[in-house]
Amino acid sequence: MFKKVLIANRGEIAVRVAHTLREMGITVVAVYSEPDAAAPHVAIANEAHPFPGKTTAETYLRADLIIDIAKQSGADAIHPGYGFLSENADFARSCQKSNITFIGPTPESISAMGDKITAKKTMQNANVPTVPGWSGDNDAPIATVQKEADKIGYPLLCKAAAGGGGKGMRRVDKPEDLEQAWQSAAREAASAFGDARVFLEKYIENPRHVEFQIFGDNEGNVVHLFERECSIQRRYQKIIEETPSPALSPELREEMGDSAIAAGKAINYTNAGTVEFILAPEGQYYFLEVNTRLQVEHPVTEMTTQQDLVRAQILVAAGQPLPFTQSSLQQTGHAIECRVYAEDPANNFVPSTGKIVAYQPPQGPNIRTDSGVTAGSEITVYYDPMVAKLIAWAPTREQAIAGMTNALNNFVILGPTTNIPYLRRIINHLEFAKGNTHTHFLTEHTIDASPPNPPVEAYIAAATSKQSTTTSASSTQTVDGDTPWHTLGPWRVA
Amino acid sequence: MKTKLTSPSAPDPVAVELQTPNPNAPTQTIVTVGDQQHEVDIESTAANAGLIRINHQVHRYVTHRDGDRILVWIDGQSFKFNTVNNVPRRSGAASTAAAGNDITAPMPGTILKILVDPGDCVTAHQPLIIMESMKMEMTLSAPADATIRQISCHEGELVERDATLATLERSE
Repeated sequence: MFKKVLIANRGEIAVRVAHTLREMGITVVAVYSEPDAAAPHVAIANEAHPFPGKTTAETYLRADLIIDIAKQSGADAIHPGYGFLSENADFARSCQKSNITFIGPTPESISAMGDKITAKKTMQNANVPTVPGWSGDNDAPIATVQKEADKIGYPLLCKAAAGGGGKGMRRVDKPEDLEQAWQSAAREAASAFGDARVFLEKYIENPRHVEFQIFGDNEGNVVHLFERECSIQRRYQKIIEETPSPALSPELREEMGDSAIAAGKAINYTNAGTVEFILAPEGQYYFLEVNTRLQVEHPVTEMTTQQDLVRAQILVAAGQPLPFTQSSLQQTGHAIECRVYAEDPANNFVPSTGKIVAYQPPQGPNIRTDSGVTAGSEITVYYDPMVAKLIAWAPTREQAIAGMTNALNNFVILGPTTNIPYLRRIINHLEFAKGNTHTHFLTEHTIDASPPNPPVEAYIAAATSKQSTTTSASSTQTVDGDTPWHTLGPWRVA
Repeated sequence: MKTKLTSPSAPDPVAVELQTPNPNAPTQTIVTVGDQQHEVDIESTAANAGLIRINHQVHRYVTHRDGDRILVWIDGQSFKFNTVNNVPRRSGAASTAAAGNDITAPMPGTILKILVDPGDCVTAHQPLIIMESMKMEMTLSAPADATIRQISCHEGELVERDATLATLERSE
């Protein structure tokens, strides 16, 4: 087993990985950019190494520096978290060359799936259903793109071959919009992934996003840990995820689970991965992509299967067999995750930067908060504005919604504006309660994003407020807030 | 103690006065908010945090004050207030600018593409400038039919939030 692991990430995921490493008695090495010098992911580490600079390109994307730091500190392995270098096959290969274990799939699996065009062909060969489309050619004249688009029919999607998280993706409704969308997608893809290739895909109206967590080991075992429904998205970014999906019958779950395993086996998958499908309203499902990393929304799976996915990742990376078999895995109860962002829903969701002056995550036996900030943390333009993930578990979906509502009501964040009221309105929407979710939920249903008028008690509280000093701001912090993701204990539900 | 407060969602100033009539029961306060009087218990549990009880209804609050700017979290909602002597005009600047004659940057970022030139006539919702912030592209469009008077940025430029990017003259 590893003695020392470097976490090549920041924020909530670095904190979350560190908790499991520490529980396993493994020394945690953190890396940090200049603005992150006092961040929770540094506070929880045993050892921390600085990057010179602030931007992601100068810091968390510096594969060369990260490997140097790992060697210097004597780390046996690197956990990449999600984002940054997590799906960078070259980075995984560089780790191998330096005799450092990359905690994730093999570079070959990453390459096979990192390129969405190749991935689609591989899945077609493995009899996994895929969406009709054109594999694209950036050098082709726009007339060729137009002709291929006409064959597929409108509406359609321009998608980045190297894409993820909706970046480099454009919906096109009519032929005259194609050229701009094609070029804009290519530009965004080039900027976000350094790869401008774009392809076309038929657009499925009002689908659900249903993904399966898969896990493979070095002995060729591949299992799935059921689905997550991530249909509530804004501009292709998931903001609310849940499991089980209200749309899956036991038969469909089994069928999709089998497809997910077939997808994993087709690329000799090891470690944690996610097979994403879109599920059409009629029940037909199509392969979308494999995310070769731990997902942002993995906690809902952990809450309903009572498994620690990071622990399983570490065991498999260390050459051990999977700590579970398909028949030992069970879905228990219902879990919902809300992504809390520092952004202003009333002002076009503009990221809201600035210092968090008060921070108290909600508590409760079935509430889990994974956060990468604390009182005093600064939300900057350099990184993703997600401040925390709030996860609620309950025996039923209805109770999980109630638990989440209560948790959102008790989440204190002062400083940047957050989307907490917006999240609360979504999960209390009648159609959400009915389970009528699809990826255009937030455009089909108008969610009021305007701030309410302050009630009388808010005026009274404001009038009592005294000039705050830095110390008084952090004194509103609870003990739990100091270690935002306190222990694994409370959410291991029976 | 009397404070006049405004908030972005309630811009008319509201006067709030706290009086403690009984020195032996300092948590009992008579509060006048606007023209309404309330008997209130204010229990502070930490610096700038505590409970407000009005007719046995418990309200949990956390506040933060920085000069004239007061932030309040209460019962799961957050509010921004300003004491009235100095009402900053910054809040909502992006949205008022969108309704006015300037196109301003809604967030800090990089100008990727300028789609129009000075003198161009544009129609409402026509894309003018594409910028990128936090790796997401965002298109800034004309708020109304207008003529482009001036472009105040160039492609590749890094701009601050609220920076003026273009000036429009609305068509009559």
